[in-house]
Order: sequence, then C-alpha cells, then structure tokens
Amino acid sequence: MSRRERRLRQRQERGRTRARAGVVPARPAGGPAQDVEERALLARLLDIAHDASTYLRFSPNAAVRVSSALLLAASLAACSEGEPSEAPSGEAVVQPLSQEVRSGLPTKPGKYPVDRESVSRDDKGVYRFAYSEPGQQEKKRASISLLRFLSANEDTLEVPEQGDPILRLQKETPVWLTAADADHTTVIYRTGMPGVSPWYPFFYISNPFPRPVYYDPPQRAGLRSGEPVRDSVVSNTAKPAAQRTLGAPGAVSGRAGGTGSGTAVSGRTGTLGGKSASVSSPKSSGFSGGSGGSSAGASS
Amino acid sequence: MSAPEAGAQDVWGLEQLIRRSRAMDQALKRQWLRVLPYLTPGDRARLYQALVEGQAPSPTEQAAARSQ
Repeated sequence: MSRRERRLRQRQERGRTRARAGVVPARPAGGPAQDVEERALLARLLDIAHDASTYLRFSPNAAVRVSSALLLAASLAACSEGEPSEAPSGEAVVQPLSQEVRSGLPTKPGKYPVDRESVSRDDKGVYRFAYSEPGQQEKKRASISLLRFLSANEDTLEVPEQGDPILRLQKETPVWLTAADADHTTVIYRTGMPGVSPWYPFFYISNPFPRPVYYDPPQRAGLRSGEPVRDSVVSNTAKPAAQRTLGAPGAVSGRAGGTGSGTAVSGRTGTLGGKSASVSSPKSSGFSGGSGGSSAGASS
Repeated sequence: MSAPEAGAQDVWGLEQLIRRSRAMDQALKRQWLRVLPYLTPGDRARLYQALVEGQAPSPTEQAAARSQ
C-alpha cells in the first residue's frame, strides 16, 4: 500500500469514527445536495415546528414566542435549501408562446409610418410598436410575434397581401429588448433604463438582405443588461416559438466581438461584417455566406 | 410505554439527538433546543421518532460498515 493510499484510508477511518461518535458537523448551507432521507426528515421537522408554533405563539414567555417563530422560519429555510431555483443562471426561464400574437395591425395592405422610439421585442419574441394610418396623427399600437425585417431608409410597417408583415427599419433604429411582463403601453424606452437594451438588427451587416427575413437577437446571458445588442440571427422562415424566447437554454447562440462564428439552430454559421452572426434556415433551404466574408445571403 | 413516549420524557436524550442530527444546520438545531422544554409530550414524541428514524444509516453508510 502506498503512502498516499495509507493516508487516504486513515482519513476515511477518522471520518467514520467521527460519524459514529456523532460529531460530524451538519452540512453547510448551499453544500452538496441533501439526500432523500434528510429532506424527508426536514419536512417532518417542519411539520412538527408548524404544529408547535400554533400553541407556542400564545406562550406568556416572550422568548418562547420569538423562538417558536424563529424555529418555523429556520425550518422553512432548511426545507427550501437545495430546491432547484427557477432561474439557474440568474435569468428567469421564459415560457414560449402557446399561440402566435397578432393584434392591432392595419386591416388593409399598405405601408404605414412607424414611431421609431416605440419598437420593442419582449422575451417571448412578441414585437410591439406604434404606427399611424396615412394622413392621421393618432398612433395605434400593434403586437405581433411573426414579423419580418428589412433594412431601409425609413421606419415603416408594410402589410403585404400575403405573408407576415414587414418592418422596414433604419440601421440606427433600436428595437428595445424588454421583459415579457413589462408595461408596453406607457413606457418610452431609453438607454440606461433598467431591464431593457437596444437591439440593432442590421448593425453588423454591411450588405443587408435585399428581401425581408426573420431576425432574432442572439441567445446569450445578460441580453437586457442595458448594453446595446448589435448582432443578429437571421432565418428565412420563422423559428418555432420555443426558439424565439430569450433565456431559453439551448436554442440559438451568437457572439458579439468574438473571433469565431455563432451557432444557429441548424448548425450552419456565417460571419457578417467581421462580427459573428448566424444564418439559419430551419427548413434546410440553401445557405451561403461563409466565414470571413463581409456579406452573406440566404436563399430559400 | 412505547419508545417514542419514553423518548418524549427524556429531554436530555432528545437534546443529544438534535445535536447529533446531520440533516439540521446549527441555526435550526439552536431553535429546536430553545423550544424543546416547551413542547407538548405528543410533539416531543413525534420529534423523537422523526430524529431516530432520520438517523438510520443510509445505504452507502451500511455498505461502508459492511466492508469494514
């Protein structure tokens, strides 16, 4: 037996002796996951603590009343320790849309001016913006989950005869990334506002797609940290709702400022304008735009 | 007298069980020790039973003991 093995064995033996003597310290908070038996015991203790607190809180002794309250609190804390949190990475996991959103849009095909300060996209992938009917001052608000984008010299909404509407945006027009439960009706988004970030879909694309396609922000942590987002994932067809949420694990990733290319759902990647972006076509249609190029195109 | 009833009367024994518990952290142990004298005999019996059953060696510990 080597010296190292002997030392290890001695340490194990010491541990067993300590355990038998009952001097092994309790596991520290946030340590290894408690096993099933320990969790069951803590649940039973919580039950007893709850029952005890129902009569101890009427004790004439103030110290006992306080102790019973603290016991209940400590029991609750012990039971909730080690439970999986809702947001393992610090960001809430967003539930995808159960059905597509399309409301408030013009009923007639045509082009409508869009308020450039009003365009937003929430965690679930729903776009919101204000537009006006031709010749009218009144702003109308629209919400839509399936929206195509086109880089243009104007900020307009185009409602075609067929197909999903098209938002023509200027390169410097921001799409504000917001939380799904944000107040979308009264808030005017500004840089520095907590929980929102401006997204510039066409920023790194030197030769924007000449026809409308679907743009998504990249999937990465801290998208709504306030920092501008300047890269995009582009696809010919709309992705499934689960892949349009921000914060859902394993959908799409792209990197800004990295040296490599982003990864799209289809696994096809392309580099746009020296920065990374991804071009994907969920229906496996054609793809062009290899790495290192300054332009990329997607064919259907 | 059943074991839990006997355990319920043995406050010192209950204290030892609480102190030796590996499931509870120090804060929880402290609170249990503070309220222990004021618990009803029924709740002490439940506490005794829970701690005794909770201290049964886990399958891993049993296997380790067997290998000795």
